[in-house]
Amino acid sequence: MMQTTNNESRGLGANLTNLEKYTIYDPVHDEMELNMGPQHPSTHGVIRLVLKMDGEIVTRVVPDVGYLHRSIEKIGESVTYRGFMPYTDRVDYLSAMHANAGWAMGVEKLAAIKIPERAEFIRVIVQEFNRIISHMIALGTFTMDVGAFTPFVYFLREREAINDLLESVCGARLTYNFIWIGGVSHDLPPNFKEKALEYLDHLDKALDEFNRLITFNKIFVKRLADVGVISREQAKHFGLVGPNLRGSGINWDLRKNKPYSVYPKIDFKVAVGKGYKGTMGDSFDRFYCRVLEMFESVKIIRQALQMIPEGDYKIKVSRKLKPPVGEVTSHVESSRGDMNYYIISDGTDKAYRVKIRTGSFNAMTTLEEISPGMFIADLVAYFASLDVVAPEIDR
Amino acid sequence: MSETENTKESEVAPEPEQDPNHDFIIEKMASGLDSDLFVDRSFGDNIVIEVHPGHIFEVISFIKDFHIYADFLDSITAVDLMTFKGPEKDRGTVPWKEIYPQKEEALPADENASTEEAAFAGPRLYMVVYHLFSFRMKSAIIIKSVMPEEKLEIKSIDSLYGNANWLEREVFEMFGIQFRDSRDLRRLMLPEDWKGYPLRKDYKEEASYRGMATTRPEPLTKLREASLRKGPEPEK
Repeated sequence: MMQTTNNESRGLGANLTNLEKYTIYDPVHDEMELNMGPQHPSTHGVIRLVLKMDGEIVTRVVPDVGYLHRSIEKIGESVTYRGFMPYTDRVDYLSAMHANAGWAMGVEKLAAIKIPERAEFIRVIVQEFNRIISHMIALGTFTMDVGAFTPFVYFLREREAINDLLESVCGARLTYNFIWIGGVSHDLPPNFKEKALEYLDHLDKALDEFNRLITFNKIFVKRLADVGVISREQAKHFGLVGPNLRGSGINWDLRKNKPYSVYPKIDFKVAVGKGYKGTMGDSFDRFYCRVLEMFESVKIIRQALQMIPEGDYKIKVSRKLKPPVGEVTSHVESSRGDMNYYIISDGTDKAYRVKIRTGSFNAMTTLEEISPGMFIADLVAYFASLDVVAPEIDR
Repeated sequence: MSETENTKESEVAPEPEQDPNHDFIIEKMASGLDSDLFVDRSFGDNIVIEVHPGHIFEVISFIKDFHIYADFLDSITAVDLMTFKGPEKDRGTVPWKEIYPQKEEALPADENASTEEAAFAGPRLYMVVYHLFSFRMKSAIIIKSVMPEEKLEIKSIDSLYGNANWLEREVFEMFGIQFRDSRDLRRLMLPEDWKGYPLRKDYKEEASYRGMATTRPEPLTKLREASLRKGPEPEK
């Protein structure tokens, strides 16, 4: 059944370009249309992909997003700056600390607030812990998509310990609302350092075990190598960020190249893909970059715990903060890439416009170009390697 | 709330310095493009230029292909300037009338309005903001373009960047800004029969969508009223 998009049915009454020529549901003879629907164990959230297939080979992918659209940008215009912080948790609930930090850094830049150094170190520690658990979920679901169900549960067990650590800090396990404008909401509890260091020693061994079991497993490598190759120019052309960009060989990490907070004082390496088991820029590179990033995060946390100074953990900021008129773009290197907050303020206590550009949004744009010609199993592996979460796309 | 203990009044952060590549970028643009195609509006450590909507494609392809090599499109977004109380320069009152005396005006001026009323009166403006990034120079460039509601269209840049299409689709469905010559300008996130442009400042949603009410009475109202009331519930 052919369904064309029609001006009247949209209720817009506007003259839209190229619409009459663009039809989605237009099956050609011998072609199969398969709906990888919003409820699917492999789509990492509610994303719908309409696949047009010739047997097992995908000829075209039409993504249909918007199932998780909560109009967070519109809400940003009707709540105060401080009140918007829990909403940023939900923009990417797997790495909520990064989203919080991006908003806090943006508003602090607008209002020209300088936060104490202990708060900066606490922010770095919780953000790196959050990066570890976000990558655990990403890699765990990746292996689950490819067919190995156990590593996901292994990682959930490791994740529980970190969730307990973060719960001891701020009281929540998933959506923290911990990083506030002006610092952090609570100080670290007294025995946090000992528990964290003890856990990190255990985590090193657990990650080595994961590497031995999965990362260099012959079957796993064969599933991932040379699948979904994105070259260097293509990665920049599609605006990929984070491990997707680094997996294609571009050495760009905001924490090193445009450092913010106290990252200049901390020594760590950036994981860049170089065709470890196949071509540079394939799914295995993206996967392995995430594994290496977990090791680097452990190093960063150890150094930060050693260097953390005593002092205040936050600065008094009024509940109805009124930054001066202006705008700011603040970037934070979240687990899925560079998250860009564009905030325009008009002098009142509510923002005038908030725009959140997330790494997953740009990663979804690669699907239509890279996917034609893949087997459907490869498409699942490729889609999982992009580490897309639905709330980041739709906000 | 332990806000009063263990905290002090906020220190002021130092003023951000100008981006070191600012002069180079502006100089190269001035040498390659007509000087009346863009206006430099940089502030702090941002490099901002304002471009007339009719010349966006030319300016962006220059920045992408020559000297500056901004091959990374960070984001495209739009702002509805209807209730913006900021200074004049953010409302796009670039004197395009003087620069383009023969061409169409970007802003039909309202000579009868006084300066106070002019803050809210006058044409309704929309500002499209492009964030570009250059890996070679490690600098971000912000390009702004202001257009009135009567002429709410701008040329699409999806032939230059791969992620421009989705970003433009989102701007289109939220604000109604047409992107000419786009390869595919459909809705992205909203359902196909949604009416209106949500992110506009005067957007009011319908009372119901496909038979479902879009608002509900606040559930705590009855409980709150009952707790404040002293006597029994009044007869309806």
